[in-house]
Amino acid sequence: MKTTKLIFKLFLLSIVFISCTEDDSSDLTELLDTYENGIIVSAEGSYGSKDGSLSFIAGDYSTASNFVYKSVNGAQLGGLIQSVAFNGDDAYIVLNDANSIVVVDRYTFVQKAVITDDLNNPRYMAFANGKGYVTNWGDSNVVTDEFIAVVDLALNKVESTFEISNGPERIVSKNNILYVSNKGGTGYGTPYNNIVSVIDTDANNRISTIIVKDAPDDLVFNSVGNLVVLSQGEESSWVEGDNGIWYPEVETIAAIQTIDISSNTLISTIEFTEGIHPNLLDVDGGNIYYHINYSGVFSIEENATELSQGDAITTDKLYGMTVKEGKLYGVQYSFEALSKLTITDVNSKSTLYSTAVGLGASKIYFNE
Amino acid sequence: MKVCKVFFLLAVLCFKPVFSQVKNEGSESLDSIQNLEAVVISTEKFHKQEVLGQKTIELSVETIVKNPTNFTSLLRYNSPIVFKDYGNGGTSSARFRGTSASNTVVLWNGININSVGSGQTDFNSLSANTADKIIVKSGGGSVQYGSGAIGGTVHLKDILDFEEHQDYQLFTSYGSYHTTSSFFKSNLGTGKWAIKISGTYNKSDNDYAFIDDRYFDEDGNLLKNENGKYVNYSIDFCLGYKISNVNKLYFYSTGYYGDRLFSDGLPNPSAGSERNEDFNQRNLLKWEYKFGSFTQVINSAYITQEYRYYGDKDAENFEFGESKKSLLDYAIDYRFSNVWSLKYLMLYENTNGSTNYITSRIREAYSFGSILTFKSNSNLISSLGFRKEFNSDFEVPISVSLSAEYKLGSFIWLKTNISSNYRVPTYNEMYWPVVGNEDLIPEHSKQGELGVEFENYGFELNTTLFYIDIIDKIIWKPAGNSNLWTPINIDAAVNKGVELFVSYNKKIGKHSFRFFGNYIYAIATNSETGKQLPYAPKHLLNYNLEYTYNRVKIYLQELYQSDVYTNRLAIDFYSLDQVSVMNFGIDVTLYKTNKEEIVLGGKANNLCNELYYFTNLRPMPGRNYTININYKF
Repeated sequence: MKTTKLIFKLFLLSIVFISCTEDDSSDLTELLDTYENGIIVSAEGSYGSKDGSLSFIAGDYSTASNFVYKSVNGAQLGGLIQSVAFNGDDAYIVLNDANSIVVVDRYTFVQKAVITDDLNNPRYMAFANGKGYVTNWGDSNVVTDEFIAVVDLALNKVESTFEISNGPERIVSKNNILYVSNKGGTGYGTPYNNIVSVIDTDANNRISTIIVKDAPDDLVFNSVGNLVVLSQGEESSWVEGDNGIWYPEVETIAAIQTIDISSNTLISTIEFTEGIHPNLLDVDGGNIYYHINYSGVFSIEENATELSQGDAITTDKLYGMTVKEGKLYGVQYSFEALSKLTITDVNSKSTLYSTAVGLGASKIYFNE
Repeated sequence: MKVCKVFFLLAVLCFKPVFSQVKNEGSESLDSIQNLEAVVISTEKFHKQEVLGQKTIELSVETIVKNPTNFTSLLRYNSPIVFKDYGNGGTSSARFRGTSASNTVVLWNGININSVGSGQTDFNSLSANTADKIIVKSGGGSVQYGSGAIGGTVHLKDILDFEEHQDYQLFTSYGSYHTTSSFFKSNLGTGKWAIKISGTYNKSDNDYAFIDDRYFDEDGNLLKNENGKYVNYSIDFCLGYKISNVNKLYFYSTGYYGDRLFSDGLPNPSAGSERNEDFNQRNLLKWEYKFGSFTQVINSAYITQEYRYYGDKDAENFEFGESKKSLLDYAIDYRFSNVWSLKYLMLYENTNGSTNYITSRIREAYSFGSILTFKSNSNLISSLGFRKEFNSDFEVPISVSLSAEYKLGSFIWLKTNISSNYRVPTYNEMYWPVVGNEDLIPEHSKQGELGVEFENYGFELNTTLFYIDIIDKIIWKPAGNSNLWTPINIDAAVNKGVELFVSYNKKIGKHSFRFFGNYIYAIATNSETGKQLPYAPKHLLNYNLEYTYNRVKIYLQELYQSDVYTNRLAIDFYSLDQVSVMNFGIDVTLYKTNKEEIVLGGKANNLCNELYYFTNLRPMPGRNYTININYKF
């Protein structure tokens, strides 16, 4: 069964390989005066090549500009962009491999500072109590050295660090409380985790934990302020089949779970069927949107008790996804050509706009 | 910068007379011709060549001491090979004619020493300073050298000479960033025995400033190559025993240890924490026996390679890979007549490789080949060869090679070679957990070249047009739902262009000039998209210009490489600017007799303090200096 699935995946992969060679790379590099009212797309670049980049698309789709940081600052960011976090007028660009955070003005992309000390494998950043908090994996192969770096936003320096459970990934904040998804599985063969850490920044960063399904990743607050968690389910202990194809011997169930943040308890759990591992989730207008590779993006209501039975909004294989005001912003996984940003109307399922963005585009953000 | 302009002018001025000499040669009077050190072309040279019709250059021992720091820099300034290294001293891979790094084979005394895991050789974890001969052969040679010989081959040879002699050489250099490169070499012959013992030692803090002033620390200072330290040493022992003139036994052995830190480059050098150790050991026993019209050679080799990779240099845990390769090859040459000769070869190879991710795997390969050589008269020599490999892991296509060399007039040779070649999938490509692909098949190529060689009046020109069509190229591509890459036989590429080697020597009284250089124009494109392949510059130029007066020699080296793309998109953002670097050196012979020589040298590398890159954001060193002493006795 699993093997058949893998063969099927590989078959689909080969189609992806063949079909993704189309060239839509008018490498737009127009320099704009200001980057307000639009969409920011961060692209990882290729692993180890230090060529992550940022793109900006005007909200009315009138202009799109790639590699804006280099155009503005004359130098590359120089790392794999894991994520970007925003605070006031500042954007904090987290460079995972360079152990750095580059601070820029979010409306001009002019560099203001670089944070380099006391970061190790940084992932995501959030803000609470006037400070920045950054999840760090440490050595990917070591599960006991993960930590949160606390950033002094005036000095742009890490002022302290504290330990956290294995594999801290996303970090979000509400009312000076931070929520971290401890996904685990950071290195080959390292264990997965199944908790959401709750950090009270008003109480000396006291940590409590909520057990969720395996490999929690995306964290978002829904329309009533509760926390929605996407647990992807574990896929590990890869073994080689007789046919030379590798499959995970250990596989656990994925789920969308909602946490009531007033009591830090689970109020709903919607499980996926065995072998299905959704990888992206967002909420918008009372709906939850989730993406499954090779199937597409589906939506359910926030208080739904089961998964969508409907058709996919888009069947694109997405590497990054955000939904805002009824529009689905998806970036397609490609390390061969420039990635493609596609904006789809979630109701009519029609494509509103698409453009080429940086290689390995993975995250979508908005400038008002 | 002014200094640089002066040097540039000097270089131009020096060129001018050199080239005008060439142009006037035909009409020169007898007098001036007599002043030239004419090099007599030797037909022997061609007959001995293992692959006919290929462009071959040989690096002299004098060349080695000009770029002793690592093998990458030696070949960068003296060969048509393009290198991609991860900063100075970092891992370094070689590409001929825009092909891939695994299409370049390094042979140590005739034995393929490319890594079992990656199929490549890291040119910064290999000591070539004590080699007696370094030969760079461009073009396909799978019939002779097996898997990987598509772009070209680099040959390191130890020479065991039975003739009674004792030669010793001691070289040591010291320079910026506490860089030292030293070697000792002794070659002895007693008539019956030939012995070579040599050793190398290289060490550097390698903490050069990154002269890219767009990146700086919080105090506004330039950043440094923080995690780039290296040390490596090697020892070679070779022994030959002459049972009789037709019956000789040789033994070659070498050991290498390298300990390097891998720098992280810009923008945050402090992120670098990787360390890598290499342990390489090679042994070869060779028996050469002639009887009647037969010559037979039996090679038996045992090669081990091991690396230990530490993600965190201070931690004790490491990842590793090791391989043991045993090899037995037999070749017999039979001369039917003065016109025809036939060579038959058989090879058995047993490779056992493993890493902390790949459990021990054994791969066996048997190869059979034959080369028929036809020499009609002293003007034409041609050969037809084939090789078939039977591999325990996959089907290997047959390799065929057809070549000819024709002497036109007194000084000109025309050369051609048409061949089909292959490269077998490596251990990493097939067995890496999750991403390894056991359905891979060998890459294979059809290629041809047509060349002209001219040699006279101190002038040598060796130029070749080449065309390579590679299919089923193995490319790592992203797969699955994460940043996971897997290799697949998907690509096809066409590489075509021209390769040129020029050298010129002239001596007038106490003045002597020498020039030699390589130029390559290579269009290497993906067959499907037509885009230039990553890390394949269209132009590569390097040259050495020397002027000697009495005991003083000054020389200039230059490397020019046009811009390269760093990925398959082939757009500007993902590219590296062109490289242009100049080195300048002075050698003074302090003492010289028939037997002994002491030369004191000094060199300024990257004279113009140019910022240049071979990989994104890993700058190479700015202007730096070395002094050296070279003692032969």
